[in-house]
Amino acid sequence: MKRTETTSGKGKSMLKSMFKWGDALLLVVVIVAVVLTIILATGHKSQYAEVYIDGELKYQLDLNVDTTLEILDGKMTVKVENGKVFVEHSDCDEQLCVHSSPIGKDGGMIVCLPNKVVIKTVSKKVDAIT
Amino acid sequence: MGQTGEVFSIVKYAKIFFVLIILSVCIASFTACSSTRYYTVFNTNLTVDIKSSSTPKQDADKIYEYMNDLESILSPTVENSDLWRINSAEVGVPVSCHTETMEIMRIAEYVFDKSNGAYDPSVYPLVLLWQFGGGQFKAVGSDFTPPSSSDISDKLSLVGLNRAFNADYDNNTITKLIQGAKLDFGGIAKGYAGDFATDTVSAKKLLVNLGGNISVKGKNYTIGVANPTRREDRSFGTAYFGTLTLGDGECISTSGDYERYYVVNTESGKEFYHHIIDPKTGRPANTSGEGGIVSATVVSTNGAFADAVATAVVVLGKEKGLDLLNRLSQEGRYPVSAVLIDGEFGYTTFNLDDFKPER
Repeated sequence: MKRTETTSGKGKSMLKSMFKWGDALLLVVVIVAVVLTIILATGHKSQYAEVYIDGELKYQLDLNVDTTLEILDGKMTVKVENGKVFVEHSDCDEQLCVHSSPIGKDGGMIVCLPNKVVIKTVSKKVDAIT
Repeated sequence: MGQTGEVFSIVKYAKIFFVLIILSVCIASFTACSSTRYYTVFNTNLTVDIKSSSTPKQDADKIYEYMNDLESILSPTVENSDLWRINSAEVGVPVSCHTETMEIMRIAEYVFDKSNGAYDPSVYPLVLLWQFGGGQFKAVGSDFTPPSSSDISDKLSLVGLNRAFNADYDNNTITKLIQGAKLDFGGIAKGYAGDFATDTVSAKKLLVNLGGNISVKGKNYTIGVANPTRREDRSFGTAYFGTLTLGDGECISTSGDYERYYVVNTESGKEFYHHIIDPKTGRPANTSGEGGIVSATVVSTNGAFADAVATAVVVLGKEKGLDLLNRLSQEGRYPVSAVLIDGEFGYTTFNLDDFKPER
């Protein structure tokens, strides 16, 4: 009955009755959670190199950690060094992947067509490179 | 009293709905509606980046299927494709073709005419002679010897789209006029495929990248223009030379001398032979110096057109390339803008305000 009085009263109190302090708090928590998720999800990606084999995402390599990764039973060796990823060795004929420039946080793609491997870093700045 | 109860429940539901909507937006944006998929087709890498669709994976697969079908029509190395049948046909015998082949032929003839033959899909016999055909090219470890001058002039006699082939658009046929002439839509088919692939799915926002031929739908995308440096000479720190914005329905293509080439060690140093053959000389286009173009990026609403024009500009060089862009722009059949990078790594834009160089 109290509620009826307030809602039928001024417009301001109608708003007040719709969102109480507890709701406002919940709202803030939810918004903060959403913003954090987005920041974490996008920021996170830019620090990683993604390795796709036959179109499927198989590995994520932290660009800040120097590592050597053997894939496809040693057919290819992928290396992370000084924040950049490159193909150190590949058994393929073309060798285009081995001779591709290392890619880092500013985005880029290394492709080995014969082995169907794509290595990609996600850039915040560009969506694709022509 | 009944009214009171209604207001109360609406308020209560509104709150619940509010939270649910936020949560679902949150979940949806990271799962179902966004997807990047990779495929191999047209002898290159295909990336499909779908931003808004209820079935992103199916949509991406559909685009791949579409391109696979196109390849089986357009590739000169696939048996019984339109191009394979044209190339193996006898002189004077009309070869019936798919509408896609005819559409591409129409644009090829248009750019051939406007560029005075700088873009010419009948240059294929020379592409094969220089070992840049599909399946022939190997980046490293092959003992490449440039073809002899007499071999080049032999093949040059087969080149010339207007005299070597005749297209009949009423009956959808292409007829060979010179014995030994061969067609390849390599410099145009990928642009065409990317362009029309975006229309084969219901996704509202997407980017299709077929070996650097990019077409987008539904929103603005930021595109990097690759650094035109060869593997042997990596002087640039970034992966791209500059960026530009590609809007809804636009396509972009880049042709350059820095990806597909052979290196020959000679006494006077290394010699480079890249894959863009000048149909007039029968040799790789001269891309060196301020007047040469090492990378031509063309934006248009028609992918095949952008692809062909980019090739023509590399063949023509800066001055004549800009003349061509001016002529095409004045004629206005398709919108056209461009970024040209010369042999000294300086750049020139045409009809483009938003290009931002990285350096």
